[in-house]
Amino acid sequence: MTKRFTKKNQYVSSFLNKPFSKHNLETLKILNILRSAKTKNKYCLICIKPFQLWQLAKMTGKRGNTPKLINKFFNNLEDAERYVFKLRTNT
Amino acid sequence: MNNKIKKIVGYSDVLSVRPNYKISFMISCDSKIKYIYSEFVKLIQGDCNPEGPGFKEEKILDYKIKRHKAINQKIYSGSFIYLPIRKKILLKKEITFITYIFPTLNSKKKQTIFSSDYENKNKIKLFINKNFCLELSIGNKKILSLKKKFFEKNWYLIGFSNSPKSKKFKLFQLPVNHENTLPEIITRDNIKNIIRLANHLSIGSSIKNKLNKKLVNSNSYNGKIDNPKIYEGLISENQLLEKTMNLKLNFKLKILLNLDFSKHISNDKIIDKGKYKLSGYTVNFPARAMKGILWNGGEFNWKLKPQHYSAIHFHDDDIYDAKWNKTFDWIIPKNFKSGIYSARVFDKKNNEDYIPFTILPSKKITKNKILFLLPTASYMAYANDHNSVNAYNYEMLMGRLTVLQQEDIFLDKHREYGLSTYDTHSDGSGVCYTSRLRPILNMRPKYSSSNGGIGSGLWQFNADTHIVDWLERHNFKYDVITDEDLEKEGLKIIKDYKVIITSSHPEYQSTKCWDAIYSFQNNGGNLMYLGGNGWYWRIVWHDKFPGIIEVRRAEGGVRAWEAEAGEYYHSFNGEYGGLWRRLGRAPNKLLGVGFTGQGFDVSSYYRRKPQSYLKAVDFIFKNVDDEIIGDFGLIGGGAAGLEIDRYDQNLGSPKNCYVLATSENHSDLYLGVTEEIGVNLPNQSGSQNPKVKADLIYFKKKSGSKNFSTGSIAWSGSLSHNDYNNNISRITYNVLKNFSK
Repeated sequence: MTKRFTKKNQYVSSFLNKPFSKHNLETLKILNILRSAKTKNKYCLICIKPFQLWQLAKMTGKRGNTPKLINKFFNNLEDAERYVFKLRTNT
Repeated sequence: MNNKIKKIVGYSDVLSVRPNYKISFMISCDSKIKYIYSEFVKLIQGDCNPEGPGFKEEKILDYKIKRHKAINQKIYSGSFIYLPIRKKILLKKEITFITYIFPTLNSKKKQTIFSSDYENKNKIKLFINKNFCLELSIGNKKILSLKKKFFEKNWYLIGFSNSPKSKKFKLFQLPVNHENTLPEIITRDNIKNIIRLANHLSIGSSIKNKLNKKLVNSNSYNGKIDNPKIYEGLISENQLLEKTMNLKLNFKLKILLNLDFSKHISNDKIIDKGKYKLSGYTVNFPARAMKGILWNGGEFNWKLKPQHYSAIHFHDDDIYDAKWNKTFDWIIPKNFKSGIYSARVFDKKNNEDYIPFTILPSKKITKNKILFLLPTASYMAYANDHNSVNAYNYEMLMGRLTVLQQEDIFLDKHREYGLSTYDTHSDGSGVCYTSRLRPILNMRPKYSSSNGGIGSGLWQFNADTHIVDWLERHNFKYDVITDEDLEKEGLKIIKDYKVIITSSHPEYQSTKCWDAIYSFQNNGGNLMYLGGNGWYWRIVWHDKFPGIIEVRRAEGGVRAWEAEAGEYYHSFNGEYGGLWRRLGRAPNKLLGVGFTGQGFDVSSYYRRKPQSYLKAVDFIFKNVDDEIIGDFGLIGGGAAGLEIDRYDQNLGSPKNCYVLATSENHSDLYLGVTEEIGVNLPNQSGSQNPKVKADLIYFKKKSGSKNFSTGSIAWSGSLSHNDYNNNISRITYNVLKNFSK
């Protein structure tokens, strides 16, 4: 699945340029596939300092089991989106 | 400011209180905290987003900060039936216990079906063991256990018999109306035991002990139970088999215990029609009006055929009242100003919790002309939702990575704090009851919700502080009441106001509240609906138990779960559940607009329509020259967003309505509402679906009632832009000035 995204095509770059914007349907197709993965091991963010600092984590997929923290921090949510997009697409 | 792990949490006994009356607060602290302090604040702005005006509160000087000993208090979730036994009962003769069960979760934990006395000295216990098989124990010693596992979500006839005379115990389970498992009946000889029933019987949980009159339960069962009975005498294997086919079969034996759950469905009473008359009550609101063993699809209304609704559905995560000990209270001073206030509890290490509530206007002073109606039923519907950690495909729906706050992590761990009506129980069944008598961690200032759009991320209570902040900034004099007050008092509590302002998302409404607002309009009252997706679901407030509502997600609509077929009628009063639109009262009739689409990434803007330039509405656009309005804001960056409504005469929007502006250019994460999908055409998303839009409208009724609706949850997030000097703020100001004259 991830091979589809190894080339940085225009749809991928439109997301990376501005993750929080109105994306075209082709870009959304890619995002929907990535975002609809199962909850187990799905990336999420933990708010460490409101509106300032977030930590990357992975959900466990089990009720009551706290997400596993990853030693990666972000100062803005757009950078977090870009980072996770790249992790998910191996780009 | 760090987002700290929650170490102090609490709740109040009421969400609204009049001057001269008392409000009590129940607080629990991490066991390492020795003392906490309480103070009160007037809440103005709960949004901490640095892009906005920032958090605002005013300390209440009438209340001097008090110190309290910190205590750790627990919540014991799990619903059950409790039947007190006043005098010990010895079952000296042969007896047979039977009941139908519908187990819904192989939890790998013990699940009590029927038990007597406290857990450490159980006289008798019939339960599902860790292997998901039926087991019988006496005095906590195993008597018998079956080998065949239950098959989830299927009916069984189960039970046991005891013959002290022939020293035999029998344990059995027989499938009913399915072939997923085989029957199993086993016998143990040479065990003489006279069963004693003492202290109490419990069904659906065991009782560990009683603390300060609070029952502490354990081993909660997930599933339905229908008509437990104890017969005096034995029932043969053939008779048991016959009972799986002839469900109404009665054995010609004396009945010692007979619990008929088709009675008193709307309240907590459990009546025993057997010899011992062990009547009792349910605890923590197990689901009632649930399809029983006899239900065959012939009748869908439990009031017309209650005998088909003879099952109770128990859940290990049901909770009604946490019943914590009181930590402190406050008698509201005489003639105190109405508004939204909060207790703030804190320690010296910056741990804190806010517990918001409303001070109602005093009955003895002249009311203000403006009323802000706080939608506590909608707050309760979302109370402690687990959307961010449990909802399937949540990231795709929201269009961004899920951000978990410490409150979300706390609630994920502490399932005993109860669920929202957006959650499913641990067995996957939908949550139809929700209460406010427990800490509600997402009904807090400073809380950002993953539901709340890019930017501030506010949803429900905290989003509504945007409106309060704007009212305060413009020095409007206003009163605040909750919809729970409107439910209790009806039209009389609102009739004297010139204008009612709604919240950003007043989604859940009872019949009485719907009627009261309609009557208010017909008496000439003005309404400013500053939200989106309002008056969507019918809910029912319980008329005897305070602070609990019910919603049955029937038929259609944007639903986190679907009510089971045959379970569309509310148990609290028998009203049919579902969308107001499907009940013949689309929100368009009341508000002029109704829910049309939703998306949670970026919000959009409105473009003025030709009607907005007509003289009749020029008061609305005084000092507004822009054609584009609301292309800014803290909720998704625009005033038109999250959940949006449209004007539609076919759904009851009035003909004499001015469509002032319409939103456009919504993203393709915005989709039309599901209740309008008959044939699932491929043009559902924002760029292709002409129905994905918010209409800004104004209409006047014959009564003189003037109505202004924004049709967008995000509207209030734009009010403070550019130091409150913007076209959304100006339009809102113009309307409120006119409506409150």
